[in-house]
Amino acid sequence: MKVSVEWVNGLLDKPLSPRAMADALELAGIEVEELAEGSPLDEKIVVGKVLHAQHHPNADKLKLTSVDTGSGEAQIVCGAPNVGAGQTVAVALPGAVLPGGMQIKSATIRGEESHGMICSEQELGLGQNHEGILVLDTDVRLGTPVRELLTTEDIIDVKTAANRWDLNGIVGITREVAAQSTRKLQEPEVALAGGPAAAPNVSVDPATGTHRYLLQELSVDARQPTPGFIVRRLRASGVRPISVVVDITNYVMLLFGQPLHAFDADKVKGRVSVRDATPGETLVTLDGVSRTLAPTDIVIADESGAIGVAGVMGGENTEIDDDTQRIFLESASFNPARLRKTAVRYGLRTDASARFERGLPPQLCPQALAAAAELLASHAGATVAGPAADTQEGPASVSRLTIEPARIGALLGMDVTAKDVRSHLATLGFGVGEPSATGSLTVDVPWWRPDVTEEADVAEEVMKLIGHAKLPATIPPLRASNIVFDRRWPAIWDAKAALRSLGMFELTTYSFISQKQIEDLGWEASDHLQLKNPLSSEQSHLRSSILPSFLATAQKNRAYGKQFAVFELSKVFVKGKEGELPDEPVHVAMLAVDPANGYGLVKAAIDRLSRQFNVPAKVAPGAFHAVVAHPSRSGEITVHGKKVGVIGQLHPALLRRHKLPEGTAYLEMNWQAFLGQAQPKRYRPLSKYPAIERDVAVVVAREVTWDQMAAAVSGYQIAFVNDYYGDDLGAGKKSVALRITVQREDGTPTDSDAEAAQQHVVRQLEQHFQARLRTD
Amino acid sequence: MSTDRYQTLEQALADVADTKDLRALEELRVRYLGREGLITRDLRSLGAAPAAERKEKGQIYNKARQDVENALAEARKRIEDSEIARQAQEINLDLTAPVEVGGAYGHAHPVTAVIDDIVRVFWQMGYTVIDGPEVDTEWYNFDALLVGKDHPARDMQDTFYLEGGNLPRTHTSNMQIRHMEENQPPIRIISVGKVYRNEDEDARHAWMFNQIEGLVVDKGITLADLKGTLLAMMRGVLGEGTQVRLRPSYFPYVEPGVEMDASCIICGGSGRSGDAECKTCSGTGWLEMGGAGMVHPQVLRNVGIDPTEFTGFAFGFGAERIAMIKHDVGDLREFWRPNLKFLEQF
Repeated sequence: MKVSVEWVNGLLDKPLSPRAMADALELAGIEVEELAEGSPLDEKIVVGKVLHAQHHPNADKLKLTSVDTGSGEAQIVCGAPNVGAGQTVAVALPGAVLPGGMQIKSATIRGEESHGMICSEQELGLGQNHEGILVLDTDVRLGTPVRELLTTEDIIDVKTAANRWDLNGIVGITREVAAQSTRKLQEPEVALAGGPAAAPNVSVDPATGTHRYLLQELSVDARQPTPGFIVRRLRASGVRPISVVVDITNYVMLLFGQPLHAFDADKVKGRVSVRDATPGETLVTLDGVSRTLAPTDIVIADESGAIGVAGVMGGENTEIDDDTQRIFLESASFNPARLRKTAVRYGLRTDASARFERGLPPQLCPQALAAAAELLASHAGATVAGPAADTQEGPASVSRLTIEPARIGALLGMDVTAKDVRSHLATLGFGVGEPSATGSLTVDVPWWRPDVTEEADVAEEVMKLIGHAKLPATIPPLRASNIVFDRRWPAIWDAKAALRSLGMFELTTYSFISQKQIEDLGWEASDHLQLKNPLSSEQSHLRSSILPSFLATAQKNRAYGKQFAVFELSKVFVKGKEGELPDEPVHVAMLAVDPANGYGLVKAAIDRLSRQFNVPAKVAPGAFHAVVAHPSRSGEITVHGKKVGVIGQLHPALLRRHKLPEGTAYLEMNWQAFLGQAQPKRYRPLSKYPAIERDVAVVVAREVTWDQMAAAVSGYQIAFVNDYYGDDLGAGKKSVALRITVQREDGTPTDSDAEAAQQHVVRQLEQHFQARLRTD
Repeated sequence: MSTDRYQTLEQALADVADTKDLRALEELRVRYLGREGLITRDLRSLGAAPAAERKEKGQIYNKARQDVENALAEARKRIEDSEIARQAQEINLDLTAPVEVGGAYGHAHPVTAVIDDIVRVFWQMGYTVIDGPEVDTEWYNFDALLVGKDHPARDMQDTFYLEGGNLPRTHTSNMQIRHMEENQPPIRIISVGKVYRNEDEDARHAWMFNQIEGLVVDKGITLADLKGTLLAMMRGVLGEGTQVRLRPSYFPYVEPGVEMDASCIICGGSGRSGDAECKTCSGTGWLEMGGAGMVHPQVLRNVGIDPTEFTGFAFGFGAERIAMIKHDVGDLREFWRPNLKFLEQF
């Protein structure tokens, strides 16, 4: 909200500088987003009157005007589409400096002399409007410096708490400023004119949840000009002046926080009611849009139908115009939740609806209505036709709390006395009684603070008034009931260090992916959680695997180098039954872009992790997916026969689609399932005698895996050395070199022990795999 | 005889003292002590000598042999030391040239590295790190935290919703509720993880980021404790000289609520960078770090904790923000692209 410093100062006993006001606001917990200090306009910018305006002879888009500047007639070339004879305008005379720093000089534009400039709102630093020149509604003497009429205001742009309706008004803002400075709020005092005459005939349907509804009839002169101070304050607040009646309702809204609406009473047919919209009911709103209303909307209606959407926007059928003579002025407190829904559905978050949404106290309605009636009487020749219709009977209730200063002190962590509480709260209009025998205080919460409902709320007010800078900084004692050791993070750190040691990049990628990314892998989008309101179709589904993100990342980074590898540890989302929370397993994924040794790297990774955590992870060959997995160079990662993940080269066709080299390898596994099988490393007693090693190479069919060979050999320890897939070995054959370790319990093994071991091992491999000893 | 000089010994010691290299030294050893060496020969000649002479000269020759051996050893050490000293002056290594051993080294992600740091900071402060769901119900994400369906504060956080119900959490505060439902005070936890906001990305906002949530509930926990904890935490994360200030603010689930600023680590809180204003803190000297406050009594009631017996504080802040400050990264989106050229700097 834009806060005019001048307006706030108008309600204080002594003015504050803009900076001091911004500081006070911050102390009150009102976030200052921007402090824009204004500066007076150059006195060479004066009021002028356009005498003639005609087309520039040499330029289609320019006009040639003659302007009376008070000190004579000046020819000025003007580019604004809206310039016309008879207008009163702001003229920057030669030598004038605009707020933007530009100095005006006499010039020749397309062959015509121009002695000054007719200014737009933006050029004067008054607003954003630069569509055309600013037309001044004034009859002051020509030549008067414009700065006597218009100033660039000091504006503080603030963000206020969603639970504080009162900070949506200048009065509420000023109250906080006063409490946080040495100033006093001088609240505008208004009282609703009342009398025995008949009030407008109004009925409010209780089903609408309307807290209070007031409607006052007034006769007005809608053709009166809006007074300058109102125009200036509206502009400062970012609200466009329209006409005197509308401007005054907006002014009162900005001042008190109570939106008002004026209906042209002569266009209202019969009795006014507040009710739910009927199905299919339509209304053309003030913005000219015909809207079909929903039964959840609350409407203001006359006997012919809707004349306004409550709290959101009025209807065109009862709009005020220059001929309006009688108005119904509405001041109400509607059901905030319903209003909010309506405003959101129509995309009409107006200044009014935003205020209603925070919930307005019923005491506010008559105050604002009275203030508006007074202003209309003073500036629009209004007279009140009688008392307002009012749905409320009797005074609204006031909230009273019992609090203990000692308990507030205990919550804050500093000494707080009853005297402190009383003096501080009084500055915000709270009524605080004398302390009771037990030290408790009764606090009458002012009607404008419905957000204060318990002691903690009072503590917050006291804290703000004491100032957070005075709060000590202490460390709470550790009073642990038990000690919980964290095994999760150290394991993650060890794993990440192991993967980094292989040269991999750690990545973080987005959790949301597109339907296209899912279907590209031959997966079902319906197996994935889907967003109702995605930012874009690129991020519409929650990923169940890290693979789609990695393919996109690798494709984007494929120019990075011939080879690179990445990994990520992240939760993924496994959709459960409709409406149930998904499973969120942590996955670790790796992608190695390396035509020569991609698989080698991810296999090295799983081997290192297996060794690090002592998990007996195995690769079970076999394509794990038709679209994703390489048909013959992929498999599952298993631990004790249970699948924990997948590994292998990616399918060549998939890689081609992503412009990645063949041989690119991938691994993804469930981190918890893997880590859950970690075992402490157990010591095996060492032999006292040295071992001898014997290397042999055997030729076997290519389908035979090392794991199968290792499982087939008993009696001796064997280790993989390397393998060779040469065509010289015969079709479908490969050679596997292995190392046999020979050890004896009773002494150093001999050459004949080694020979026996080799024969034993080779014989077992012959029996199982028709292996033959390679002798070349 | 004892005063007689054994000239061979004197000559040998003089020769050894003059020697400059190891080969000459070896020649001297052979000349005097070798199988046919002068001293060896003298010793051997004693075999034929009378007993008295054998004893007397034997002592002389044996001592001489010992003396020469000692002298040789000393000379060897002298020559070797001088050789080492000479070689040590030779230049055969560029100490500054880069060396790659055993392939490329990988790269930690700057954001997860910050998270890892933060976890270690909180461990040292006696906190337990808990984990929880990223997709949660509206109850845990909003209602239990006093943000009802029609609460205007729901607009403070633009929310993604899932088809069929539930939502990717908008903050880690869901874990406050989940943890307090299962655990009685004393509670001292943080929870770290991804959160999601339905808002357009720019240099300072991403629709997904990492949040760190803290919660302490016990007897006698105060707002001053919150201030002290935030100060300690920020010093742990950003450095010892860091200052913290609180500003009043509003979050529905805390009361009183505050916004936490840390002094700018780039300009040291001065707001100036040379003649210009500090870019990192926009000249204010302070960096907005996150929100905090005393747990709202109604939140405690919602999870069955008696607010007249226990009080608590909660805080939340973003990991990316800290990574941006720490590494002087101007655009948050860099963390998520991911661009290996960017990441290889870490």
